[in-house]
Amino acid sequence: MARSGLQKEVFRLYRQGVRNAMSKPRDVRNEFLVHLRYNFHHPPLTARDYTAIEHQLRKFSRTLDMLESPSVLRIHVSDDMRDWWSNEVARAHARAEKAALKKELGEGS
Amino acid sequence: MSFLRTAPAFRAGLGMRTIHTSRVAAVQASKQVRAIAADETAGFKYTAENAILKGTVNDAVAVPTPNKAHGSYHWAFERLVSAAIIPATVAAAVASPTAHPIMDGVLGVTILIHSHIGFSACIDDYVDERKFGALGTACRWLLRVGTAGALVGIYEFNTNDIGLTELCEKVWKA
Amino acid sequence: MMRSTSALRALPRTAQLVNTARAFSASASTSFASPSDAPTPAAGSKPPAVKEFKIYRWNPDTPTEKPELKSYKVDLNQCGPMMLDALIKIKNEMDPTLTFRRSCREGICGSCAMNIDGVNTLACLCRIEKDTAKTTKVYPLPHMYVVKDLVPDLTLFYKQYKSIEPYLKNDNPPEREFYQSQEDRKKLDGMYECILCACCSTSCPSYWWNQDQYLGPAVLMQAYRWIADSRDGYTEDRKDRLQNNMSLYRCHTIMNCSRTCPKGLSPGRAIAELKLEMATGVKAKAMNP
Repeated sequence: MARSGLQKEVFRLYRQGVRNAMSKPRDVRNEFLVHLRYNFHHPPLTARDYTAIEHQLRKFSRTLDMLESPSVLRIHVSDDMRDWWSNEVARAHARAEKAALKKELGEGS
Repeated sequence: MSFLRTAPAFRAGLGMRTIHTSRVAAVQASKQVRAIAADETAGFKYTAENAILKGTVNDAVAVPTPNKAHGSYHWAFERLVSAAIIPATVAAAVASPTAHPIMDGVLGVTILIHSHIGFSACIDDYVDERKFGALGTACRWLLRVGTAGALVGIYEFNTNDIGLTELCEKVWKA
Repeated sequence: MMRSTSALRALPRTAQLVNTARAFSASASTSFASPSDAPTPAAGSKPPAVKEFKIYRWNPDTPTEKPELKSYKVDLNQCGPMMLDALIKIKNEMDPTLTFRRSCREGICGSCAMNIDGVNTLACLCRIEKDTAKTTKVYPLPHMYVVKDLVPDLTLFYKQYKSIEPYLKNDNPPEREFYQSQEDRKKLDGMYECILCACCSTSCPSYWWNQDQYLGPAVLMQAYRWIADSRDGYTEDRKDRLQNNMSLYRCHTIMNCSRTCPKGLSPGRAIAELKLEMATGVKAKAMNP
């Protein structure tokens, strides 16, 4: 799949974020990952909002610069972030169940 | 085999231990020393070298490696060539016919170098490889080819046609 | 007793002042507002001079919305004389969401640098154009990333400033105070006054195109300020740091910097002298002899 320069940059930043989360102590990695994912979904943007995407890239790369400091060992995950993430997880589970059900039905018929 | 399986866990455990011990040591050090010196906290001693924290978001921009050929020498050369064109043109306009070949050569080369430097400054400003990648490189080569072509052209003009000096004189008289 | 005498003493003086004020208003035009009714303009006093300001607005919380010019109408009779007064009035009375940096309101902190009617300047040093028929447009500093409304992102500017090491470096400082001849001190005039408002750097086309590599007039003038300092021991080292084709030599003497400087300094001239000193080693004479 051909990706635009902007898309590549978004992926690069996301990978950098994951790598940063993995460099933190094991018990707080999840918090870092939720924070990362939340920031890549908020505010909700479409592929056409490229100026907004560029702005978010600059903003989050600055945040990441700060988080990459080895002295950063914890991160606060707000209720908003936690709710959003549990919602995402629930939706993913529902989707998986639905798919499994469909598969079962398909096999039955 | 069993050793191989346990090795990563062992290594991870070691890593955790070292983090723990260093932190514990720092805490213990701060506990033992009742009064911490002003330039010392939790085992960290400030010296002239580490007074400015490096590797934070406040780092200064990187300083490029010094190269006088791209710096002051280049600038001085550019100014000299620009300044040399003025007397060369005036001399060409009033020169005697005998001095033509040398005058032609000097004038042709200085003007060519001057325009080459000028155009490469444009590329530096607007289509640098750093930002435009292949397009910048292409522009550089286009300029080099253009300069080489112009050199051949000037040589032809000087040897087979009236020459630059003669041209200057004609323009002067026109 | 003491109080009453001082009050008595003060009384005739105020009476005198009021008298002179009356005399003035009587002899000059009657429409001239007297100081007493300035806060509450009564009918028949100065007519309101409503001027339109168009101010650049962009909110990072809604990044999908395009930046817009928002219009505000301010009665100039109810407002101080400077652009910053108008901005503060708008923020206080009309739209508290308007965002801009300001601190000293007297041109010494460099916070309120912005682009007013197409010129980079400090809002606190820029008079409001009295002509109410014309609208005044206010933008953030050009070609900088915007944080919000009129607030530009100056991170890179400060990082560049840090890279020139703007402090005295000397391995053999004297035991007591550092003496400097009057001539040597004069070399720093016209450079040390810089408040780093970034008006000059953001007016420079070279800085617009090559911001990531070119240091820009403000930082280069400060680089020269430390090179020209007779007390500094790292002059050659400082010069070496500029020996490449980007940091210094992207200056093409466009001179927008000197034209726009709200403090009346000349970064363009400082850079020209820096280039000359780099090429020939000749120390320049004082900037303002």
